[in-house]
Amino acid sequence: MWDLVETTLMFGCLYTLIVISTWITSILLRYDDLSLEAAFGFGGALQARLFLYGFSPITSLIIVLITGPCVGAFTGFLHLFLGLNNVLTGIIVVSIFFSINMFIGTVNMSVIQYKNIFSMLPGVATSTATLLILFSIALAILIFTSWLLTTQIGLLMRATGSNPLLVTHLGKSPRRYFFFSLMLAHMFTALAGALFVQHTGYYSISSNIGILVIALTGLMIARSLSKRLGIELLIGSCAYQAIIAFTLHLQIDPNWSRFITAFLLIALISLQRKSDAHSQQY
Amino acid sequence: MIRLINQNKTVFIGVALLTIFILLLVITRPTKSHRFTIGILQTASHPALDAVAKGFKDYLHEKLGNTIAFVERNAQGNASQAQMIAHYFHGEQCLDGIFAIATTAAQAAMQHNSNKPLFVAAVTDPEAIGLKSSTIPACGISDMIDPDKQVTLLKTLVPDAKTVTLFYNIGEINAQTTAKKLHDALIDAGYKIKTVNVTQISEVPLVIDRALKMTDALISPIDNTVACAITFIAQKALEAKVPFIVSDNLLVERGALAAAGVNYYEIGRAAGSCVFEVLHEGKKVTAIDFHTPDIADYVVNKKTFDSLGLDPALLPDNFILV
Amino acid sequence: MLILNNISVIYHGIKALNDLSITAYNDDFITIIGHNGAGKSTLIKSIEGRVMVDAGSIFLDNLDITRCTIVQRASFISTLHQNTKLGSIHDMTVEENVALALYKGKNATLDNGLKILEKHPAVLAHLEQLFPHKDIKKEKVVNLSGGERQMLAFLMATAIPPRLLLLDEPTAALDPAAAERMLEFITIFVRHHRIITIMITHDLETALSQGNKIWIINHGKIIHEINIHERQLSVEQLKLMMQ
Repeated sequence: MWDLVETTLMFGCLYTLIVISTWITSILLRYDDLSLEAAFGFGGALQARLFLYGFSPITSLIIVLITGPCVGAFTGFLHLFLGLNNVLTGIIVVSIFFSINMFIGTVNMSVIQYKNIFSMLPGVATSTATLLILFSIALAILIFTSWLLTTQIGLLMRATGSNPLLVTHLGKSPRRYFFFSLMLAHMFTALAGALFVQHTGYYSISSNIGILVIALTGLMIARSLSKRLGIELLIGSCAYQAIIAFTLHLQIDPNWSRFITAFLLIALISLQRKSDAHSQQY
Repeated sequence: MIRLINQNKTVFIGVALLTIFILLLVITRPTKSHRFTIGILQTASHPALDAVAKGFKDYLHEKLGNTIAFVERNAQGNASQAQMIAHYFHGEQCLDGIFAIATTAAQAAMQHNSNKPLFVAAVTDPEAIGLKSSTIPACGISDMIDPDKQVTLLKTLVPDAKTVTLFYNIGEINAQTTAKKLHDALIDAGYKIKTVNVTQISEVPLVIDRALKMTDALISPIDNTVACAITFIAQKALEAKVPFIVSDNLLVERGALAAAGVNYYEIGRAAGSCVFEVLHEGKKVTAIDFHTPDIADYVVNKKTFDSLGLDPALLPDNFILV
Repeated sequence: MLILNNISVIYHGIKALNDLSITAYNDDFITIIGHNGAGKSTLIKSIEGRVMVDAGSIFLDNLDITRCTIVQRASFISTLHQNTKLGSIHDMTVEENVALALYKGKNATLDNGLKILEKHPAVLAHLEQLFPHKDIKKEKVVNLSGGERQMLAFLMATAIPPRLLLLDEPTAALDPAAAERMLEFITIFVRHHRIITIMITHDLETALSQGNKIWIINHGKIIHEINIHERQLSVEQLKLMMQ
């Protein structure tokens, strides 16, 4: 049973990265980015391929961090320069990266034989190490992003999402900050994809299906606790994983877990609408 | 950092939720009522995999009667669902072993560190997904086809065929592996090959007409997507008067013309015997290797055969008619 | 000095600005009046850069800014809008908004966003002046009233004093007391910093009492330019001149 708790927390921490990405796009930029799952797949495919070429677990993560933003840049280009809406952009980016990811990672690549980042803590059992490492990464990214939003660049990112016209009046290009924020979000999601491959030991072209829903639900749970970017995102992500684990534990058919997720989303959003009407936050 | 945790309320809520979660898990823990319990993780619902599950259960019930119970879960072709179920199985105390049916389930079940023995069946290429070299104790049965038998089938039933269309889901590793083998065997036999791919089941209606154009036969390797869409594809092939050959015998009942594949029910039984040897006879899991069953029947669908207007004289006696 | 040479703006075949030429000199505070649809907003927008002119040229201090974008012009032109929601970021605090306004003309860095406030005590002093009754700095803009938001917007637009200030009916959404306070503040500020100011208003009394010049626009052209210090006019006379 502790295994189950451990697994829940592990995935909760890993998916926190995507929850943060979704917070940056949907909440900060007010742009519902449907192309995040392409970044997840891209990070995973690249990680698998880098393992194959003999890169160490840490070096490969760094490479993924550097190249992940390109997915976001592409999304930004389609949305800002070609003026496509979020649905069209999402579909196009996901389709293009399906082919790219297939090319980089093939349809299915087994990497369980390679050393991953989770076995690198000496003296600690792998599963505990995994939890510690994933928690640390999630926390580190949370702290980093939280700090970034207090800097000059961060204030401009927030301003861009809220009132891009005013940003132009301040002599700054809102496009630049939109791109930057998108690329940051995609960087985190790509990292999550790479960590996912390191943890599960294989890359599959279909592994990015459904992660947007996971991120969104985690985000909604987090926002029912607080509207800011903080530890709530981690709690929300873990809470959702716990709910899913619990439905499995109660021997509820996994098919029903999707129904439960949808129901949960509706309930959470309705509750938030009510409290929003009260306090007029947005 | 301080800003993050300064709202003690949030951290308190987080800790409280975690405690509740653990308490609930403890309270609702299932008690062990059978001597052995095996978790069955099936990749998707289609005839072949269902037959494996049935063969597996039948064999073990025959051998162990009521002392064995099964917890069955289906991943509905979804990799992340397979992951969730696999993690749940690994974490559940009362399970003595995990039986994974087909590649997606096997991969999901493979990467965890619990010491539960892993049995697999209907995994086309265990070596390719790392099953043979991993540190997880595992053994099982593969369902790799013999492509030469497919070619023989084609030559026997449709002797005038020159062009063949290879139709499969490019996103499934088992399909890719077996398609490559088929491709090479067909080239060696002198056929011209067209390849038509889909990436998910919703694309099948969109490409099937193109796949059936200007070809003498349609052939599919071991492919879960094709298996799930079999009735539709078979019907379309029949309307276009194109012989449709598959790699899975059970799909022939659903309308395909013919197959020279393995018997999935027998595969299930063979996997059951692996489990029996480990649980009951105490054999070590790694002592049992992966093997491919030798059984390959030629199966033909009589109705489809007649509707296509093929010459009955071509049917040899050793072909089973359904 | 702002020079507009024969500028025309065409919307759907209609000339919103029709071969308009005029000059605004240093120390000018100009109010623009005219009927709805006469071209007031379009004129402001073309100077601001939100609308690119279809013909003609615009010079600011001998610099040709006709083809400059809004972002480029923002370094020396500030605009204040009628809509109180547009002038500030409503889910950020007052001090964050003021800090943002101070980034103008410099590259944004990774320094703490609010630190820049320490380098501009004058701006903070103005903030105290405009909001004497509250400690407003940490308040979220969404909690301010419309008048307070306009004051903040003005402060932001002038935190780094621009060369040219454009005001599009800035007091339209304010109550008379707030409007008066705002105009008083604007007048003192622009005189002190020598900012060329152009303000659109519908209130003819305001037009006659504020600034030094009035431009009357009709059908995309400036039909009258009046120096109110040289010519004393009444509201009725002004109304007649608007026809």
